Amino acid sequence: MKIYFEQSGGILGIDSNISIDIDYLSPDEASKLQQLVEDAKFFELPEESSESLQHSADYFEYKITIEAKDRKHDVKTTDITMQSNLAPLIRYLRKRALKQKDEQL
Amino acid sequence: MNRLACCQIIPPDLLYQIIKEGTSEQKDKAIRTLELSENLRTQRSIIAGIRGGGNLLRVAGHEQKRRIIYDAKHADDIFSLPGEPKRYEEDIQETGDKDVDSCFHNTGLVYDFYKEVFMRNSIDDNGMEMNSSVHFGVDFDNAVWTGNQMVYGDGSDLLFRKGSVASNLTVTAHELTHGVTDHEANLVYKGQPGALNEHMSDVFGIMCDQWVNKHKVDESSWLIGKDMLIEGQALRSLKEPGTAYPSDKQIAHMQDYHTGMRIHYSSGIPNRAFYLVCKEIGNDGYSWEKAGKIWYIALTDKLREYSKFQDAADITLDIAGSLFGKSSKEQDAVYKAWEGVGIIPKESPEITNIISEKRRRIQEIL
Repeated sequence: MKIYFEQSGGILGIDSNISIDIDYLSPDEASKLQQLVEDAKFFELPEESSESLQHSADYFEYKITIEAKDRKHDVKTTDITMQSNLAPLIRYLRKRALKQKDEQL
Repeated sequence: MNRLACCQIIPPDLLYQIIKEGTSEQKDKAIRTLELSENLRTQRSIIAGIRGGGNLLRVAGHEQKRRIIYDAKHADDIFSLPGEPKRYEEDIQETGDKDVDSCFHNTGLVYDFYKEVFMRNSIDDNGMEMNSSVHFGVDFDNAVWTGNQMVYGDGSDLLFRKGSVASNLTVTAHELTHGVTDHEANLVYKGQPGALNEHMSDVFGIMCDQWVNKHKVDESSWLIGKDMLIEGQALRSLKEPGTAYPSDKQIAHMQDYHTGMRIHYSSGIPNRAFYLVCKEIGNDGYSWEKAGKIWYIALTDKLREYSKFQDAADITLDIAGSLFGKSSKEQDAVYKAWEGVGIIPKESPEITNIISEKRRRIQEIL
């Protein structure tokens, strides 16, 4: 399974992203990430939320693409419109992306 | 009948104490009682306005600042907000939670800034309650305006320093100003209108900081979110856009602008223009005294949902002429500032004769 994560916006307005191939993670890490994807019911989530962002500001925007053996799914969401069950997965990916950025600097 | 809800003689302080310390049923009843008494107060004010022949528009709301700081308890989910109430307006005692107490203090300063400089009564100019949630998410490097309230993360120590978000005055003023913009120009949050929306939050954010610290134009850092970043001096510089941190992509001139640019990058153009106006009017003056008032009238009276940079330039030139006179030093400063960022302001053939309530209030205090 491959996961592509992009984050933009926020009060700072900077972008960060990360690609993760679950096959290259340690068994514990792979299992943790797999569980987060399952808990999020990721493949059942709508591609884009229909909820309005009008009147809100400085939220992060996220795009997550997951490619599994037989399926691929994109989800675009924000801090304002995100479904609750997706939040732990986003938190995990956001931290991984930040750590990667930190290592690159 | 709900005994607590029908009883109007319980003092508000006791109700707030019940909300904090009571059972969930008692909390619900106390909240309902407060809501009822709030409604009654509003009705009484309106009736008093009618009887006294006063201005109804000005008496319908609350005249005092009203802050509530909540603890989001690290919830990631915006739908779980606001969280647990930690400090109310009436609470003089600090809670001991630095984020709660700093956010409470700074929100009060932003209210005072708007009230004393622009005679504005809170976010909606009608005494709106200012609600904030701190400790949102886990290591959340952000602050957000949701449309109803302000939300602050803790920072991760990877991007933002832990504890720096909710305690930064310019950040609180920036977020609260998004609320002001919603109730005024309502600039849509994309393209040039979105950049102007961000710009207004930065302008009133830095002016609030300067007002609190009594900094003159040449004494201010002109930085938003100073010392918040692990790497870099701040989130943005209005004086020198693009220099706040190593990979800062904010621009300062129209020659670097392209359609589709992120709004936090293109907002550097009007940000720099505002700084130049202040500098041109006088390095030894205060930003909020003249430039700030031009910008406030633009935000509250003239800019609209889809206004662009050119509109902002034309409008501020017009307002400067109206407030300070045609070809005045102030109007020349506005012209030169916009010209300096690559936008030539066009003067309106006639200065509008319609004096709005907000413009009248500003003119009174000039």
